Amino acid sequence: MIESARPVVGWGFVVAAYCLTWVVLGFYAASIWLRGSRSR
Amino acid sequence: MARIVKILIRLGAVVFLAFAHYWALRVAPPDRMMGDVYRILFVHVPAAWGAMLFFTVSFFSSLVYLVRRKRTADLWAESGAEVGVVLTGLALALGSLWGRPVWGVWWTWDPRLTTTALLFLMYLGYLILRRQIPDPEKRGAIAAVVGVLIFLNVPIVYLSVKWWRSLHQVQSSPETMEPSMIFSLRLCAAALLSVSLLLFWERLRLARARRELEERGEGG
Repeated sequence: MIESARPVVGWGFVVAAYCLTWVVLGFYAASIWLRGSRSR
Repeated sequence: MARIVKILIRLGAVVFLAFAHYWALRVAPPDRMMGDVYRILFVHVPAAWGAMLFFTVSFFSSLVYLVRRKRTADLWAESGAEVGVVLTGLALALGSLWGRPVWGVWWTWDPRLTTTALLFLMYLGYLILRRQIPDPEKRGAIAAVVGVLIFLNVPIVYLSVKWWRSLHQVQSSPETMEPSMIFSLRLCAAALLSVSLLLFWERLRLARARRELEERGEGG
């Protein structure tokens, strides 16, 4: 029983971390594109 | 044709990152001590590695600018610093999300965390400084000196976990990690690197376009 015990917390933080990664990279890509379209 | 190739390369990098994250979440085994929450490692560590890489690009470009006064070197320094700042901010936020369930706190003044936060603020200051100097020659020279000086913090960040053993763990190595975890980490690092390199390349194109506008006297 002890061997199979897993921390209850975890997946919420994991999902938040991966979502944050995609959001940050997406926003940064969008910011480059927007600034680029203004500079053209 | 060239446009289709560019779109395919961008799409390929995004699909690669999605695949790597799928692997990290579904295929990599859980950690014996931390369970599934350790999977944040596969986004946190590659973001930190990427930041170090792009700050290094910025540092060498600043050195080249100081020696040869090449316009391209200044643009590389600027673009490298910006991508590095985004990745450092991401690494800090991801570290905080990992710290809460594992350490019980969102933030602590641990030497690694503190030196990384300082690094983030220094490069943010570098980017703000660049915006305050309208003359490209003067901006390039001042930014290159600052870019070389603030890079000194990068090895301090790297070595901080060895110099001051505190809450943040020391660097993992193939000797201290399960081979399947090492593979997942390298896969995620390669995927994030491919996306980051594309972002860097696009940022460089933006910097070139802005500089050309400046040189034509149409503002920046």
